[in-house]
Amino acid sequence: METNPNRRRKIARAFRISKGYAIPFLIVMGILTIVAFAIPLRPTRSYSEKRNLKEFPEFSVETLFSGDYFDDISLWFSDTFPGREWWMNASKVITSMHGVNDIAVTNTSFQADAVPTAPVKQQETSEVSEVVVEESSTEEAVTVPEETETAEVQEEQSVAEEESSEESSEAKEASMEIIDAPEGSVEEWGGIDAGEMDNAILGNVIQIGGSAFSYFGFSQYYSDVYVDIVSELAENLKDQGVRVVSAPIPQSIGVMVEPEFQEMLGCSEQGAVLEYMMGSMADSVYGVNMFPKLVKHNDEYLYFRTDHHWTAIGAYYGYESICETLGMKPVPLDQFEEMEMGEFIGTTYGSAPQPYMLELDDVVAYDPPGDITFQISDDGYSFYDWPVITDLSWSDNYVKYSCFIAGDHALSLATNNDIPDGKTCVIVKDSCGNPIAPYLMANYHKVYVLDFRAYSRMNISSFVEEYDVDDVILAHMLAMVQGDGANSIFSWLLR
Amino acid sequence: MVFSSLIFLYAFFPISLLLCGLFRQKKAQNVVLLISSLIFYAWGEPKYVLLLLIMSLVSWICALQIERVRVRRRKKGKGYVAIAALIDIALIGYFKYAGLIVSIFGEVPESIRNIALPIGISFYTFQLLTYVVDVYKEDAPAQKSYFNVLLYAALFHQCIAGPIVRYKTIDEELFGPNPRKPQLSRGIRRFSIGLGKKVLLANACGRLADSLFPAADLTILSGNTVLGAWMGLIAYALQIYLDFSAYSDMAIGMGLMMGLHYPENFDHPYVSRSVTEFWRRWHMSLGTFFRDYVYIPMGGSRCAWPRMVFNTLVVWALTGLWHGASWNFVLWGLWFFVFLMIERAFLKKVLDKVPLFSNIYLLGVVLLGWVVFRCEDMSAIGAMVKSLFGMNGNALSDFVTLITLKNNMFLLGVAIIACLPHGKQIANVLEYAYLRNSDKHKALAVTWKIVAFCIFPVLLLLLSTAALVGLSYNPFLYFQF
Repeated sequence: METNPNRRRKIARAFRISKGYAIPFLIVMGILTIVAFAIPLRPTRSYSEKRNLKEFPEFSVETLFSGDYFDDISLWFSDTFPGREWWMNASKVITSMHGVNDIAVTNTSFQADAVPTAPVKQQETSEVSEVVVEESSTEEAVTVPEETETAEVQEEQSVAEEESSEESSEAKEASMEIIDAPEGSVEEWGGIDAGEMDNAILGNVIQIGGSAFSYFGFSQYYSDVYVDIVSELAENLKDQGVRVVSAPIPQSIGVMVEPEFQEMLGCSEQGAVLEYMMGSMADSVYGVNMFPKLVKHNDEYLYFRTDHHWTAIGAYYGYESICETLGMKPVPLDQFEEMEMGEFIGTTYGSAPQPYMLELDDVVAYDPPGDITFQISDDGYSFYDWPVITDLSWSDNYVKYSCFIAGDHALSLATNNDIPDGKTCVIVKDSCGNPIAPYLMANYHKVYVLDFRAYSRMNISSFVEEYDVDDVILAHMLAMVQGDGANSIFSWLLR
Repeated sequence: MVFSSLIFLYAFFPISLLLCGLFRQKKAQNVVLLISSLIFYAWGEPKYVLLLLIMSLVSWICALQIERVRVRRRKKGKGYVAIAALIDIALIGYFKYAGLIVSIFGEVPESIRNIALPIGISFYTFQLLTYVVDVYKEDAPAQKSYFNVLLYAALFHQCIAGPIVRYKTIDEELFGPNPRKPQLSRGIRRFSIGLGKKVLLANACGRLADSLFPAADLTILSGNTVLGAWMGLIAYALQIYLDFSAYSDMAIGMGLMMGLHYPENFDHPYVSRSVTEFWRRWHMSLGTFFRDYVYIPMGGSRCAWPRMVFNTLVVWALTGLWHGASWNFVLWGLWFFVFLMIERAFLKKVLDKVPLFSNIYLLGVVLLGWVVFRCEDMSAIGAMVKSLFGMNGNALSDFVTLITLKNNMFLLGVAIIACLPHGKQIANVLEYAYLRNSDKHKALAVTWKIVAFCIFPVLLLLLSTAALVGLSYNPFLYFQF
């Protein structure tokens, strides 16, 4: 015990921490308060989360007394805090320090149905393979081939078809209103709000090394619903000579991650799922199982690491698979014009457990060769001109994927003037179908791209009649039909 | 409004701090504090400010009457205590417990189920009760000014999440003639530690707890591996301690900044060696309230054994009930009552002699108690208990659970360290060592001060801000209090 009173006083004084030490904290708090009140500094849109940020609420006496007015102000205050993106990145760095994250998971409870063995359809597969073998030996030109056995009959039919298609195309041209393209860039208007449906896909995410993968779970019930809808549609349309093609797009986890790993996570094996679905469909359905081809090339950049979509390379292999099934010759990739868009940060970035550790993506797109006009419609009536691939090399990192056919729109039409006597197809798609559409534009005269989440003018049977379509191609995520969202739309659309 | 939100940190708090700093007079500062507290409360619940005003009015009138009766009629004024207590309890009984009470007799009608719980009612009601009782016991004079009583009840530092500050402990500092002695730097340090604990540790543990130990999702609860169940339970135990103690830290820190000294509420309860000790370290202000205002008036331990058991039973049922208006909370209180009785009978003497085993014993009791606390549904409790002991057919651990553990090992490690007193002890030792010799080793002393009082709080503030921006998960656990 210190006895010297002077020294005791000095020590007591030393324990009194002077107000001066509070100054740095107060300065930092003061600066951030001033910044927080600088209204112009507040952002209005979050590109990374793909949403508009909360607006300052309208005043009303009811909301004042219920407390909602103040709650909304608090929400606005934090949602639009200046420097939001920077702060969120800092927060992700902090979260990355919670543990060792070479593999990271978001959720631990995941259950999927067991995949039954695929029904075997012997005759079906041999027919298809015969056709494929024939085409590859005789085909040279970039046109839809006609089967040599029934060539005469086909010619007659095609002439008749052309005549009637001319008439209907005139009628169709008349029903298409041409308007000006919207203001601003694809960055602002290139997409629809798919909301809950996309969230169902993203759900649980596992991160392995620098890539994020959404889990995939098979649903017996919903897969059967989908199979029934597609089979019925194919049966109804086959008498009109319309081919219904089901080409579900596998998710990245199935293709890029080892099967043992997927099993440990409880994820269903997508190859088996596709075999089951293709095997269960009616014979008139042209089923495309692109899984084996994708797996064969899985050392290439097939899927994005921070997004649930596939890249243009992955889409090319999907395109090859569709061509093989339909008996068309795929146009080699080097005939397309390569366009680099630059660094890309996608959808799974936000929901990944440790986004800071993800290796960022880049987007490369392939513009189809030849004289192709492309028109977009958001309502199904009025169309505006736009390039097939938009150059987004200058845009924000989060929107690069919208370079493919300008993002998601209710209906778009690509006309390949180099194949005037080619067939017409409609691609019924979700956002995964976007990179595959440009490839098909090299094989068809007219390619309609219909986003089933936004289109509501008429169902497919009417569409096929109205626009004189030959092939209906369903190019959507495999995961989309493991739930209710897409299937409930298909139940009225695919009739 | 909650403390751990951007609007509090960068709008409400700086402005009220600035205004308090501008006015040096106690009376002027009290006006600022009162107005800002009412704004704070109204911001969250505009309608229920009225309830706060009414309860304070009742307490103010009753306390004045007690004094008047004592002075004029030489009576004690017990009646007024009873009136105040009855009205307060009736109001809290209606808003918080109506559903529970009605459920005893049958189906709860929709109108009762929809009664909203005014925030902080459990805290300010108790504070007002201590005011009336302290006046009755002549521990403090009654307030002539209604606004002072209102300030005491509504003070935003502790109104919504404690600690429960008894009137006689704060009376002098709030209303007395002597000037307040603010400790700005220490207050800021305490506040920022609380903020960091809440935002950086408690919220993250809460996210983990919610994915492994949700309150009602039976699929997850029964599907857990043993390791997953324990991880979820431990994460929950960490969340609830760090969250609750963080709010007390922030309240105490803000009080220090003004020169108001609130009592400590938590003293590292998880290092306790017995349930008896645990409740002397957990939510201490509630424990002492029940001891001084319920247990001792009922006779405490100075009576026959059966009566003492009954007194203890009442206190623990009330403790459980205070935490939530549902039967699982009462069960939770009674769970501790059983162990307390056993300890009092013979176990405590044993526990005092076996240090490590007593720690494990205590943690086991407390963790299992949290299962009852968390799940309102008996089937959920059952599912979780089965998972904890591997009785639901699930494996000891699986791939995903191990990955989850690996992903969170540093977080859990730091959170556990934050529960231990050693960090604080080391800081105290260092502070004492450096400052004691500050005249001889000035550089060391100044370095310590800069690190502990300048750098550390600023760092915590910035990190917490980052974590709060765009945060979707910032739960306020006290909406049921």
